Amino acid sequence: METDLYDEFGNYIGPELDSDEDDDLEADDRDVDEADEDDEDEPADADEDVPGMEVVLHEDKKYYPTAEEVYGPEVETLVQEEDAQPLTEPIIKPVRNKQFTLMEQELPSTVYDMEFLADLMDSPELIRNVTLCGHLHHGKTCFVDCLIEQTHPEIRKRDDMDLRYTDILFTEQERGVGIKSTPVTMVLPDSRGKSFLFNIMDTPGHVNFSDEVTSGIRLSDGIVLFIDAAEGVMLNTERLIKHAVQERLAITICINKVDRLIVELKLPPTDAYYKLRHIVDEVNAMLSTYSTDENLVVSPLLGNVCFASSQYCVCFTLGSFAKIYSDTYGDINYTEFAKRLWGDIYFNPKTSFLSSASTSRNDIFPLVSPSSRSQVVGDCDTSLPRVLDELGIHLVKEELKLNIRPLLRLVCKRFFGEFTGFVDMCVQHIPSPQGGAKNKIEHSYTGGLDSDLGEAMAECDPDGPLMCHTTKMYSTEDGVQFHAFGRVLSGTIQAGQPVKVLGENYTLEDEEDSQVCTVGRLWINVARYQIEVNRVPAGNWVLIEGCDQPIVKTATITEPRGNEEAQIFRPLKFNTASVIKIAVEPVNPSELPKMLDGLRKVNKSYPSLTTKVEESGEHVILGTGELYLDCVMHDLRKMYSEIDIKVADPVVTFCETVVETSSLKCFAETPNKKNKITMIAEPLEKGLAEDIENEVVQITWNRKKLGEFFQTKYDWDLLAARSIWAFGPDTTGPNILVDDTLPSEVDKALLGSVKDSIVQGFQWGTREGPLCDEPIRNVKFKILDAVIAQEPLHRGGGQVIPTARRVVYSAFLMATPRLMEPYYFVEVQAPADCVSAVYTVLARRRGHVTQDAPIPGSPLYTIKAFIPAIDSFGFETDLRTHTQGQAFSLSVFHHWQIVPGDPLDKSIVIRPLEPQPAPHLAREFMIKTRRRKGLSEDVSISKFFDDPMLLELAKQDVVLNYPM
Amino acid sequence: MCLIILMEGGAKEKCPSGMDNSFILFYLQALFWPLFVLSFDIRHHNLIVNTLDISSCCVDEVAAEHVGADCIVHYGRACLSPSRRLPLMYVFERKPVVLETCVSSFRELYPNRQSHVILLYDVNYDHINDDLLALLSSEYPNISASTLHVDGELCYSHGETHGQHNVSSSQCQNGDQVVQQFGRQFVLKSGLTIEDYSVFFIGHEGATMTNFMMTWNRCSFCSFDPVTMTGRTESVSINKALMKRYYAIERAKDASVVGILVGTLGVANYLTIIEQLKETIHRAGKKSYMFAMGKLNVAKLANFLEIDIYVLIACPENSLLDSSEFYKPVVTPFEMEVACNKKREWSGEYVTDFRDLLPGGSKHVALANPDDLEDGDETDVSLITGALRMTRFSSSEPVSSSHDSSLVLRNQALTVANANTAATFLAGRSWQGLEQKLGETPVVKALEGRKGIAIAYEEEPTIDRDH
Repeated sequence: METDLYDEFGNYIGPELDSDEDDDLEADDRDVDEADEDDEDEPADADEDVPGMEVVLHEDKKYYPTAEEVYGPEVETLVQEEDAQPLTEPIIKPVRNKQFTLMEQELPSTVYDMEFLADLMDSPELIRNVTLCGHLHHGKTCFVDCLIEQTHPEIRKRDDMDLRYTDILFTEQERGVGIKSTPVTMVLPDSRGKSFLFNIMDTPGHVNFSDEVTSGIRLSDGIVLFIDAAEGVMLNTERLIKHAVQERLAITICINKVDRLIVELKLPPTDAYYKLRHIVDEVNAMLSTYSTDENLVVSPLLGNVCFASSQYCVCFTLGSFAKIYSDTYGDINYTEFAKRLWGDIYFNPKTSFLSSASTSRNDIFPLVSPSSRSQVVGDCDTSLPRVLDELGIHLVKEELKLNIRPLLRLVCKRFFGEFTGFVDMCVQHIPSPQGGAKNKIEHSYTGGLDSDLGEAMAECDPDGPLMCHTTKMYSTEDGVQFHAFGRVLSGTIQAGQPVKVLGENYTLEDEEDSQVCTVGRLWINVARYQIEVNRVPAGNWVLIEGCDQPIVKTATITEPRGNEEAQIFRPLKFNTASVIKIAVEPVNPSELPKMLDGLRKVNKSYPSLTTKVEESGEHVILGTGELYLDCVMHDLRKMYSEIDIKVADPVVTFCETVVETSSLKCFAETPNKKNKITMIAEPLEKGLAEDIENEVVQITWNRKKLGEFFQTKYDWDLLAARSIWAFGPDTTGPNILVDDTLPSEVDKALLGSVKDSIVQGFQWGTREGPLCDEPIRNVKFKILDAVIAQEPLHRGGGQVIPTARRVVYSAFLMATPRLMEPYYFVEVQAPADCVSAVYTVLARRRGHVTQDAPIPGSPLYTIKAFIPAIDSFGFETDLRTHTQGQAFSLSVFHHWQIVPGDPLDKSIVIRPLEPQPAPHLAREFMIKTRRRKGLSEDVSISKFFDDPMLLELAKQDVVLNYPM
Repeated sequence: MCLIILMEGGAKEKCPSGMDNSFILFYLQALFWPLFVLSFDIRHHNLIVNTLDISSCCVDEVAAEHVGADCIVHYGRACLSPSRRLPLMYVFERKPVVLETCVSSFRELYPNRQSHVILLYDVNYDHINDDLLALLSSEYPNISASTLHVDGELCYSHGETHGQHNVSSSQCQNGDQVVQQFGRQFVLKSGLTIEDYSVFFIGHEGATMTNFMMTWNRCSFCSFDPVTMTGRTESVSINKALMKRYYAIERAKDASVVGILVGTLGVANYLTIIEQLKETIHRAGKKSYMFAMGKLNVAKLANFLEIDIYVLIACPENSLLDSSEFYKPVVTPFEMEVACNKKREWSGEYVTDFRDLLPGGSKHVALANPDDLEDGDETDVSLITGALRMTRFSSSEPVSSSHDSSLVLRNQALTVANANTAATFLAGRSWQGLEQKLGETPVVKALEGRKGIAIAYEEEPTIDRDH
């Protein structure tokens, strides 16, 4: 650069340059380029400024090239003036590890060898698959903790905190209640030191999560029912007994928390005995109600009842207790002795003989009572060493300085040792996978048992064709993937093996619901850690990676080839119903796909959850109760989709029903006027709807059997009983279609030719009732007359189906239609002074008490009541507020009940934001449901009636309180 | 000279006011002479006027071709869908509106004087446009009135000068944006989108309003019904309606056999959309059948039990059919596309006019390229039944077609099972079509049959068929 051509400011002062157009442009281009690269290149401007030296207005001055000049005309440039992202948000976010479960970092050490555990898997006779179930807080999880502590020397609970080893979710720990059923597999010795492989399913006790129990029960051969010694048989205990009987499982009882009898209730030994006996009797009474098998009795004498106190690490049966006795005092035939530990047999301290006429009862826990009493009063220093000495337990000094509870725990542990009593009980009374296989398959397999495959499964043959039944899906720690959990019934599943996954809709005829997948890794699940294995033979539980995608709830896993005859295992049958409904919607509509994905995942994770789109277009989640849905929403929001989700107020499902017989025969003609169907509707007999739903009676039975059932149980006449056409809306739907025509009046052959169409119309109609599109329930539709066209052309489905539906509706509407709502059964435990408050709270929510009685041997009362589900939202909180937190309630769906009032009474005016009096409720519910679904405000009844039918109505002068 | 005119759209019902004298004459003739074909001679013209008394919103070009019409006069309610074949004239009623109540309910519904409001009219109330605007525009500066703008070169509305057709640029000089849809045209201020406006509709609630509400579902809607003289806000029902359509989409996803119902033969491009739908449905691994039906009714559709869902191709106003009464749901082409085309997602926006879905339309989304889909089988859980559904995205060429023969090599492991669901359906039907009954019917001499078309055979007396 020649410096003398420029002044000190870089202005050009040299001789005039020739201003060629082209040159200028090129120079311009080049300058621009340079300006871009090199800011100091000031002369760029000089080039332009100098030639004219003219005065340039401020506005026209150009200091920098425009973006267009820099990047060319085709490039769109945007200037971002503000930070779109707030400063608080890092530009590169740290990697976030989502974790929702507590897991062990590495395999913990165990008292047995892991190899040994894996070896035991090959001997099905040494395996026991057991579900631990019971009422809420009856100590299932604590009991498993004791087992864990006995087998895992490194895992110890912290001083006063329960370990809750099987509550692996953070939410479970926070809420202090089990949500998911968790499998634990370990090797436990019986009282003779023989090792057994125990697959134990720890299930939630809250009734809302009964579905988890169901999925556990399906995989097990027996249950251990936990009962709190102080509380006795509670709501869920009873339900579980019923459920286990239905599922044909071996039932054993563990009366837990026996320490409460002494420490809390301070019962003298005799009363404690009666209390325990009362519980056993109650259980036996229930068993005899629900089961037809008279041999199904539980008794400590039979060995299928054990006693435990998880808190103090105590568990014994009469047998194991007697064994301790014989070990201490020597030379007693402990089996004979065990038999005398229960019942009206007394211990005579003077003669040291057991006789039935003695005065003092031999308390079955001589240890627990004196030592715990002495602990409670606090004179441990004086009396304890003496007692311990007597029992031959030696503690070191430091141990003696422990707090009372750990000390007592330690003492008990020393005295009772490991839970061999529990093991004995399970081994003796719960069949091995091999022994229980036949029973299991009979109950759960849809295919025949006499085939080769059936035999292989019945024998639990590890070399047979692979059959694995999965009933639960566990999400991985980060909630991204799912692993299927199931039981191998025959064959051996190998890691990396290709398998065929059969879904719940698979049948031999319709093979669409099946997919070939490759198994990833396989694990044995022990709550917080998993043991990876490469093969799992028949009889065991297994956690499978890699085939979760086609599984919705349950699945049957089989071999991809060569096992074409395989059929599926029945889908789970729950003992509760999902009647609470919430509608969800993403706050940001564009996040709908994310939410759908989340919904899909919660659907997998919760066995009885239903997610669907309703006709109104809402995404609806159906669950068993408030706690259940709360957990679902937590998972949906935090675990699976991480988006904001709006939730509508909870509502319940309704049903539509009739209470009378149709006031006249309803008929309708097909649009081509060639067919005419006449029907009436009437309510079903009490209990019949439940029988159909519980599959006590099935439409697939042959006519004779079906007829006999209705004749004997419900007093139907032969003709009606033999001419049942269908249940609706599906094969387990609580409505019946009966052909009540007479062969002398109606051409049965012709009617038979349109049977399918009429049934379809009936099912369509019952699926969505005329009142508010909710299913019809408890209604019997009778075909009284039918005129059917001769030519097949004139009686096609198009003519008959919609007409049949219309007749169903008109018959329904003529039979005094009513709305039905779900009712909860509520069990409240409260101290005596709170009972009246419970009554008040219940009454305010349309509930009513059916029973209130003191719990024997305790200051508490149990109040049993019914409450409409729609009024039960917030009931628990309300109850706690009114009783200062002293009352505790659990509620579970019980039955359907008619909503008071006429839903079609137009004279009722629903005022907003006002509670309606009882007779207005049906109307209110109907109108609100219709609004929610986007239907017209009121039912247009005339739509379902033909003109001739309306004329008939007028002629007959039927009193219709509804204006047409 | 002979001119044949097809008059349709329920012309019998009422004579319009404010029309050409000669037209009134025709209408009066039509009104009191309810013959299907009436011909008379006025002022040296040999006019043939045909009337159809189906009150439809669409122009029936096919009917026009049947009578060999040279032009069509469409009377009354109209969806203003363009037609391509014949010159067409729309004649609208001038139904009375009490302007004062209309204005006062407008004030009530829009207390904010600065609100941005679009005025939309039912075609039969369009005549009050100027009067209403005159009353309101002084108070509400941001109001935008719609004018009728009939699409298509050969279409005219009554009183419209030909010159108006030339407004086609969507960008005016000052940056304002002109929106043309459903035969309406209105101007949006620059920088504003339609979401910033609310809509005031004058007319009864019905297909026309539903159509507007569905299309501009982000706008708040108010309506004024001149018959009941009430104004109200419509926003609540709109979401419900939209969500109901969402349910329809879910049903469409579940379906495996789709029936394409051709409900219009008038709207331009209907053939193109049929082809596009067939392709989309096929790619989604579903089967499609085509049905041409005149008026839809429950019985007609319920005749085809095999069909899981129907897609109705019709003008925007008729597409939104409330199918709750039907045995199988009826959806719109847009919903079918959402269900089948992986690239299109449900975002709450809704298209009623199928022409927007075509290539070149504003809402067109191309089908996913089959090569891009790495996984042929994808599993999804149906949100209706809770069962698993497999979505197979087959490529455009059916692979198996060339190998599709009943001969298969014998294989030890596999058994051949030609599971043909369609055939099993047929076997299950009670009526499988005309039976031949070979040899069962006696041989007779051929006889002369009926002649003519079905509405009036030649040997039938014609008068009896009128009512």
